[in-house]
Amino acid sequence: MMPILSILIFLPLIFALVIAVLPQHYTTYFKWITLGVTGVELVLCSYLYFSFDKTALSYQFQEQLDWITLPLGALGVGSIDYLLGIDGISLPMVLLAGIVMFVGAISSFEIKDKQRGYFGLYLLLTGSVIGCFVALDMFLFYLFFEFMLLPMYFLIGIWGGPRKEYASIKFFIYTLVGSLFILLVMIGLYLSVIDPVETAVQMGLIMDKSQVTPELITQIQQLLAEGKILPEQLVHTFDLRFMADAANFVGDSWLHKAAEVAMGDFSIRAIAFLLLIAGFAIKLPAIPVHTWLPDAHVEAPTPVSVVLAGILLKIGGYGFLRIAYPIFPEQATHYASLIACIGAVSIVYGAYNALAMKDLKKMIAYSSVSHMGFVMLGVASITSQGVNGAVYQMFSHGILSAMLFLLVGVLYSRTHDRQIDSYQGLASKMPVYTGFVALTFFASLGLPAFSGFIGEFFTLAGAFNTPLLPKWITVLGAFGIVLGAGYFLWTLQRMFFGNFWSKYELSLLPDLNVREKIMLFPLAILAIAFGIFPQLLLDVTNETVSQFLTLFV
Amino acid sequence: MNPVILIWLILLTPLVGFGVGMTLGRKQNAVVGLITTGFSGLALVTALALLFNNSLPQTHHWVFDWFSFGSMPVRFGFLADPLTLMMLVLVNFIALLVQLFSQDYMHDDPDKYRYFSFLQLFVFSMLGIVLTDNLFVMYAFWELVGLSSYLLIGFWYQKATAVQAAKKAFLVNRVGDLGFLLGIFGVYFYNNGSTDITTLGTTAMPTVVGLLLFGGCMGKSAQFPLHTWLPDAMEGPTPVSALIHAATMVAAGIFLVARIHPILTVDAQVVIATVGCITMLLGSAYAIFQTDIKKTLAYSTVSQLGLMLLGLGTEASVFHLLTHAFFKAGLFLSAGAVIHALHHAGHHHEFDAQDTRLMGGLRKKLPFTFACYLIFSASLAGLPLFSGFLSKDTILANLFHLGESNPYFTYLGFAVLLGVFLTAFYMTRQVLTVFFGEFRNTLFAVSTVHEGSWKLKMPLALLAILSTGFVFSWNPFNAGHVWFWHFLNPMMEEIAENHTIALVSVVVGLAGILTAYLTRNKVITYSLPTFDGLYDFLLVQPTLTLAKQLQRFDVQIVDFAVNSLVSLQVALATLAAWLDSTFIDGVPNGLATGAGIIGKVTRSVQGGKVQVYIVSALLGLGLLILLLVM
Repeated sequence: MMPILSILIFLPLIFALVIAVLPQHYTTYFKWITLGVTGVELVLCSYLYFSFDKTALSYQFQEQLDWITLPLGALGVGSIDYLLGIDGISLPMVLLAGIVMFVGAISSFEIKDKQRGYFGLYLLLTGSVIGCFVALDMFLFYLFFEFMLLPMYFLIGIWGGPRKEYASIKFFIYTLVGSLFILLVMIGLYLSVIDPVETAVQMGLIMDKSQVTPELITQIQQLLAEGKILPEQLVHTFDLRFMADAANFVGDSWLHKAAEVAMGDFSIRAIAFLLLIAGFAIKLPAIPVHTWLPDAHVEAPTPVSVVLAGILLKIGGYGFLRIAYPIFPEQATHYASLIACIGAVSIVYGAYNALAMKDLKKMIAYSSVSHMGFVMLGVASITSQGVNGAVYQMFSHGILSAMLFLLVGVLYSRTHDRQIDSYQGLASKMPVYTGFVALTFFASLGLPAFSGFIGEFFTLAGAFNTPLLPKWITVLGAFGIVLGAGYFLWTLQRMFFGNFWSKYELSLLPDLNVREKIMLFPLAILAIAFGIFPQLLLDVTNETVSQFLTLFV
Repeated sequence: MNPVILIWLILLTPLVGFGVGMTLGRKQNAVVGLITTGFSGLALVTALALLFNNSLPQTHHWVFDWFSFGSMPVRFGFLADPLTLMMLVLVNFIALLVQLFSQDYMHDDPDKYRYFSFLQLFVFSMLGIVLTDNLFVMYAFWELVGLSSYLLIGFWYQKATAVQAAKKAFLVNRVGDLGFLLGIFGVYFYNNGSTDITTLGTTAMPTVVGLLLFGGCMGKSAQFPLHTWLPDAMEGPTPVSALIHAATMVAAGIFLVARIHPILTVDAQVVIATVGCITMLLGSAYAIFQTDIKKTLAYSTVSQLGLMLLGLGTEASVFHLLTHAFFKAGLFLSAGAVIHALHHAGHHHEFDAQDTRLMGGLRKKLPFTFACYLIFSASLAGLPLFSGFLSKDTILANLFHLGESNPYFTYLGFAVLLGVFLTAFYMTRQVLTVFFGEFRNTLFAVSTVHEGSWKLKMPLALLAILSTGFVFSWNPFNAGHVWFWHFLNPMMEEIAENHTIALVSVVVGLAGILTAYLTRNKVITYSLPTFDGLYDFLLVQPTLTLAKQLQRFDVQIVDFAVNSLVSLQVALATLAAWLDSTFIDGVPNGLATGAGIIGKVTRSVQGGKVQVYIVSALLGLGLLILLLVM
C-alpha cells in the first residue's frame, strides 16, 4: 500500500528543495510548482477522506518505522518512532490543511518579490503542518510543531507589512514559549511511559513485535504495576497511543496517577496538564495569550494570513484533543470549568475587541479569537456534541476565516488600505465582491445553512448540557452570537452600504477578477455544503469522539 | 398524491424561486417577478391541495434522520396539523398577493430581481418554521427569517436609514434568539434529549424554559421591550411591510407560542400575558402620535401582536393571527397604493409621500382604495360584521373566563378594552386625515392623483372580502359559531357566548371612533419619546464603550505586560552581557592583563641592560650575606 501520509509530508518538502536549487530563470515556474504540489496534496487528502473507514476504531493509514533506539542503562531504553496515522479527529484537519494550503497557493500568485524564498518556505510550511496532524509519536509531533515556526517567521518577517519585524518576532516568541511548555511535559511523559510491546521484546518474552497479543500487553502492564520489570528493560516511548493508556505509566514515575509528588496544592499531573493547555492555548489563541494574533495577521501577506487563520490555529485545538485530554483525562474533568471559562471569555472578549476595530483585517483577526473560543468551550464540555462540535467549528472556521482573509486581501491588493473608514457604499460599485463579503459575514456570524452554525450551536449545546460546567458559562458564551452579529453587520453597514464614497478613485476598485472568484467560490460552496449536510464531517468524527469520551468515565 | 410529496413541493418551491431569481439576475429583471409570482401561485395551489387532501388525518407527522452525534440522532420532520395547514395557505396567499401588488409597485426598480428573489427566500424560511416538527430546526429557519428580513428591510441599501433599520431588526431579533437558543438547550435537557414539538408537555419543565423560548417570540413578534425594530422596519418597500406584518416574521412569534403552549406553566402564562398587555397598550399609544401613514400601521401591528399574546397561544390567538393577517396586509397594501399614487402624481417634486399631513381628501380620487381601507380599518377596530370583531371578542371572552379563577386576567381584560378604544381612535383619526378634508400638499394638484392598475386593486379586493365576518361565521355577531374552531381543533369545547362583553367592546370601539371624530381638527404636535434613545443610552453606547475599553485593555495592559516581559528579558540580557564582559570575561581578561603587567614588569627587569643585572646581583648578594650573618 502506498505510504500516503509520508507522501503528504515529504512531497512538499522535496519540492521545496527543488525550488531552492532551480536556476534563477525558472522563477516564473515556482508558483506553478507550488500550485501543482498543493493540488496533488489536496487530491491525496480527498482520497484519504473518501477511503477512510468511518466505523473503524483504530488509527488508519498507519506507518511505523523504528527511528531512534538508545539503550540508556539504568534509565531503560529510549525509543522514538516514525509513527503516522489518522483518526476521525485528525482527518478533518488534514483535509482542511489540503484545502487551505491549495487556496493559499492560488492566493500566493500575487507575491512578486523574492519568489524563490517565498514558495520554498510555503512548501516547507505545507509539509510540516500536515506532519503535525498525522504524527502519532509525540517527539515527531513536536518536531513538526517547531519546524512550522521557521517558515512562518520568515513568511511574515520578509513579505509582511510595515511592522513585520515586530509581528514576526512576537509570533515567534509566543509560539516558542508555548512549545517550551509542551517540551517540558513531553520529557516528563517520556520518562514515565513505556512501550509494552518493545518492553516485552526487551524482556525476551517475544522475539518480534509482530508476535504481540493483547494478553501479553495486559501481562506486561500487570508486571509494570507490580514493579517487577527491571529498569534497564523498560522501553520508554513517545508513542501517543501508549501515553493515552494509564496502565503504561511506570509505577514510581512522576506522572503516574498515584504519584504523590506535588508543588504546593498542585499535583505534578495537574501542572503537566495545565502546561500543555497553556502551550496549546497560545496557538489557539485564547485569552490572555492571544495578542500575537492580531499583529501577525495585520502584517502578514494575504496568503500567509489565510494559512495562519485557516489551519495553524487549529493545531491548538487539535493538541487539546490529541495530547492534553487523552493523557490527563482526570485533570481535564477537574479543570473543565477553568477551560470552559477561558473559552467563553475568549468568545466575548474577542467579539468586543472586534467591535472596536477600525482596521478590517484586525477586526477579522479578533473574530478568530472569538470563534476559536467556541472550540475551547466545546472541548471542555467533554460531551459528544461539544467535542464533535469543536472539531466541526475548527473545520468550519478554517474555511470561513480563509474566505474572510481572502476578502480583505482583495481590497488591500487594490488600495493598500484596510481602514473601515476609508470606504463606504462599496456594494454599488463592487456588487460581486459585496455579495461574497455578505455571504461570508453571515456564515461567520453563525447563520443556519452555513457550516459555522453547526459548530457554534453544538459546542454551546454540549457545554449547556454537561454536568461538568455551570450554566452561566454557556450563557456568557452564547452572548457571543449577538456580539458577532453586531460587529459583522456594523462593518457591512459602514463599508458596503449607503452611497458610494472612498478615499480612492473608482478606477482603483474593480470588482473581483477571475482568480479571486476561483478561490472564493469553492470555499463558499463548502461552507454551505457543510452547513446543510453536517454528516459529511460528523460521520468521520463520531466514532473517534465516542471512543475519546470513554477515557473520561 | 402522497401528502409528504406535497409538503416537499410547498417548501422547496420558494427556495427554487430564490435560486432561479438570483441566477437570472439583473439582466432578466423584467421576468423574474413574473416567474416568482408564478412560483408562489404554484405553492398556494399545492398548499390548498394539501388542505383538501382527504387522506390526511387530523395530525400527521413525518420524521427523517438528518445527522447524529454518537448514537444520538438529530432529526427533522414535518408536522402537518390544522395550524400548519392554515399557516401554509396563509403565507402563500399573502405572498402571492404581495408579489402581484409589487409588479406595479416595484415596476421601475433596477434591482427588482433581487427584491423578488428575497421575497421567495423569506417565504421559504417562514414555511420552514411552519412545517418543522422540531425546535432545533425551527431555530435554523427562524434565523433565516431574520436574514430575509435584513435583506428586504435594507433592500434600498444606498439609503442609510434603511441599512440602519435592517441591522437593528437583525440585532434586536438576535437578542431574542439568544433566549430561544438557551430555551432549546433547556428543552433538550428536560425532555430526554429531544426537541421534538410533539413530545412537548410529556415531561414537566420549569417556568424558565418556557420563558426563554418566549424570548424568541419577543424578538420576532416585536414584544416589549424588543418592539423597537418594527417601526423602523418601515424603511423597506411597502409590500414587504405587508408581508412582514401579516403572514411572515411577526406571525412566527405567535406561532411559536402556540407550538410551545403545552410547556407553558401558569406563571409563564401570566408573564406572557403581561408582556402582551404592555405591548398592546404601548403600541396603540404610539400609533396615535405618528404622522407617517406606515408608522401608524406599524405601531398598530405591535399593539395587535400584544393582543394576540393575550390569547396565550390558544386557538383564540391563532384566529386573531389569521384575521389580522388579512386586514393588516390589506391596510399596508392600501397604504402602499396611496403612496404609489401620490408618488406617481408628484414625482417631479421632492416630498414625503408617506406623510399624512400632506394628504387629505383622497377619497374622491382614490375611491376604491378608500373603500377597502375603510373595511380594513373597521376590522382592525373590531366592529361587528368584520373579522376582527370575532377574533378580538374571543380573546376578550377568554380573558374574562380565565378571570373567574384568577382576577389578574380580568384586569387584563379591561386593559384590552382600553386597547380597543385607542385602536378605534387612531384608525379613525388616520382615515379622517388621509381621506377626508382638503388635500394639503401644495406642490401639485389633487386632480393628478389616480388609482393604479388591476394588479394593485385585485389584492385589495380579495383581502377586503376576507376581512369581513361572513367569511368566518354564518353569524358574524357571534364568535362561537366560527367554523374555524372546528377546523383548528374538533375537540375544542364550545366557546361560551358572552353577549355582554361583545356589546361592551362594540360600545367602547364606537366611543373611540366618536372621540376621534370630535377631535378631528386638533393637531397633535408633540410626540412620545421612543425607547431608542433609552436603549442607545443603556445598551448601545455602553457596549461600544466597553468594546473600546477592552481594546485599550488589550493594547495597554495585555500587550504591555507581554512587551514588558520581553523588555525585561532584553534588560536581563543586557545585564548578563555586561556581567559577562565585566566579570566573567573580566576574570580571564584580568588574569591576562595581570599576566601582561607582570610580564611587563618582569620584562623590564630583564631589559638586557648589563648594569641593571650587575646592580641586581650585587643587591641580591648583599641580601644573602645579611641573612646568613643574622
